[in-house]
Amino acid sequence: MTTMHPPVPDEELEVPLEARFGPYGRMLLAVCKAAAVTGSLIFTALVLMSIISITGRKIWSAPVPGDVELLQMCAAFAAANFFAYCHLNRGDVKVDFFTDQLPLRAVHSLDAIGSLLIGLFGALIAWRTGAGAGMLQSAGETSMILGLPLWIGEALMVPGFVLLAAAGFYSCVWHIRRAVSRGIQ
Amino acid sequence: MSGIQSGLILFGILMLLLLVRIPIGVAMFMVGAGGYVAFTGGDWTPLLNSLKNLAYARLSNYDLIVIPLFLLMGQFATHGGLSRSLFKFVSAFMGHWRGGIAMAAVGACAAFGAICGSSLATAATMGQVALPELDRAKYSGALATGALAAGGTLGIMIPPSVPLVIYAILTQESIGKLFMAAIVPGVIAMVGYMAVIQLLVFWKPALGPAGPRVAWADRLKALVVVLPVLFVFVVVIVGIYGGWANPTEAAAIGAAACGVLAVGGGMRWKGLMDTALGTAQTTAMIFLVLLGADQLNTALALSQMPTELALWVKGSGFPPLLVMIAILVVYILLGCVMDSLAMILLTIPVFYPVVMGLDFWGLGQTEKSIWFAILALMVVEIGLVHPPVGMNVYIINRLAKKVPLTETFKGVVPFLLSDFIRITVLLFFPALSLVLVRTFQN
Repeated sequence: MTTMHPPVPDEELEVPLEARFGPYGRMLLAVCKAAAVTGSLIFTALVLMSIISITGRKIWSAPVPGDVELLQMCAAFAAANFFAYCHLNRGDVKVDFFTDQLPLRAVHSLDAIGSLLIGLFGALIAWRTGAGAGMLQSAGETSMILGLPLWIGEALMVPGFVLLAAAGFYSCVWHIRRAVSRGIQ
Repeated sequence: MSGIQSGLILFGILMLLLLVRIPIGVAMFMVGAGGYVAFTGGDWTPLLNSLKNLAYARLSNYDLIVIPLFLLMGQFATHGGLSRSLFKFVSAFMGHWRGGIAMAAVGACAAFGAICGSSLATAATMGQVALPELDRAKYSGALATGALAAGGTLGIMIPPSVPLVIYAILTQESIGKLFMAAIVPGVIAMVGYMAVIQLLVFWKPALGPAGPRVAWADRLKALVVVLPVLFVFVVVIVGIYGGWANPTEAAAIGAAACGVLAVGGGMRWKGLMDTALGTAQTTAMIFLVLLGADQLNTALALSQMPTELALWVKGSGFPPLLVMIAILVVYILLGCVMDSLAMILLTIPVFYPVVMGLDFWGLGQTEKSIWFAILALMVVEIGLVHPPVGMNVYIINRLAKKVPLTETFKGVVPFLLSDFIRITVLLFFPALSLVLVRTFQN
């Protein structure tokens, strides 16, 4: 699995993210980073829970009750938190071979379109997942063992995708600015 | 319009989008969503309804959670300095041979691959550790960087391996069996790379001078440091295959063990932050493509293209081996421009039914599926080292500031040859991929 950063070293990649963005971008980045770290912490907590559960099951035949349910719900929440940071950090997997030789302006213009689409995707998924949560809530379904309301799992993912939308739209504007700025060839 | 035609149209549009740098996940999603609307009679409502559950169904999939956990494990290993002790260990045993330090780098890559499922991470972390040593020992730049770029691919060839997890999820195959099957081919790859180094220094001794011999006491000391890594590998692989932990649990154990090793080895605040952000980045990268692939595969299934294509190939009378070789060639070509995981996600839903419909040496369905997984893994992996994209090559080259890029690309050529030889051997001798699975049938 790879980050497909442009093989031709993009001198901007050497600059830390913070230095590339303006004040709003830095604020957005801070939120995205916080979301990403939170997600990783949740996964770490899930690792601990799994270990307690495995030990409990093997030794005392007593796993953590509802461990699978918790794992699924929390993992979905945590993973949703990762997307926005990945996009701001230019982690998208893309084919850049055919466009490497283009002038930087053109590359930024194309990336602006890519970011716009990412933003729209984030917004669409946030909207639909929210709708899904609403549907589950009115149906009142709960999980098998712990009796957790199922809509919570979906609802927890919405902020992550809203953040992805924000990251996409912000990057789009950022790329457009680079594409039209004078300093760029 | 036939299924094959509509499928081809979808792929054509997708390729156009990819050509202009649209992120693969979103491009797949758009084409998939468009196809879905077209195949359900131009009505948007079914699509919007199905999207209500797309993200949650995917991201809460129990088998899929294994991926972030393996990535977390690999990130701990990467930022926790485990690569250094592994390299020291192998180097203590091989460093005094001609070419031995480069062989040690390959061996250490393989060992690192046993706790990390990613090729780039393996190349990058081993490169940081081994390149300065190779430079100090006056190794040629081409050999040093070539060996590391190729060695990095052992990261995904030796289980745990993220592409194999994806393959398993796409085809309902057992992750444990795939991991077991990958061990022998992975070891063959490592031995092949080491043999290449031996041949090169035999031909031109100046490429890789011998280093000083290390005393046995120091070798044993180096061994003690890496024993926990071996332990983690055995727990994860045997745990999954032996059936006393499912893959997700085994990955959790592995992640915890690597976390303990990393923190015990001196990882502090910065390392932990890098681990957290690295896990976020790599997971999101993969999951975004997965979400897109899900949508695309739904549309492809509606178009009937995979089934029709499989039937057509089966009925066409092409020799199965020729079909397989054609598939492998497609992978090599796609590998010129595309990321390995994206390739697996994009092609397996189409190629898998084709392969399963053909007869290869009378293999059973499960064995055929395992064997194809290993072959596909091997060919997508070489995309990481061959031009023009060869991400491993760029990463190693960026680390080795003194070596020109052309030297590095020249350096990987002999290793690529060994890759092609290995793939041919695995193609004609499926038993190599299946031997462990057959032996430890449970």
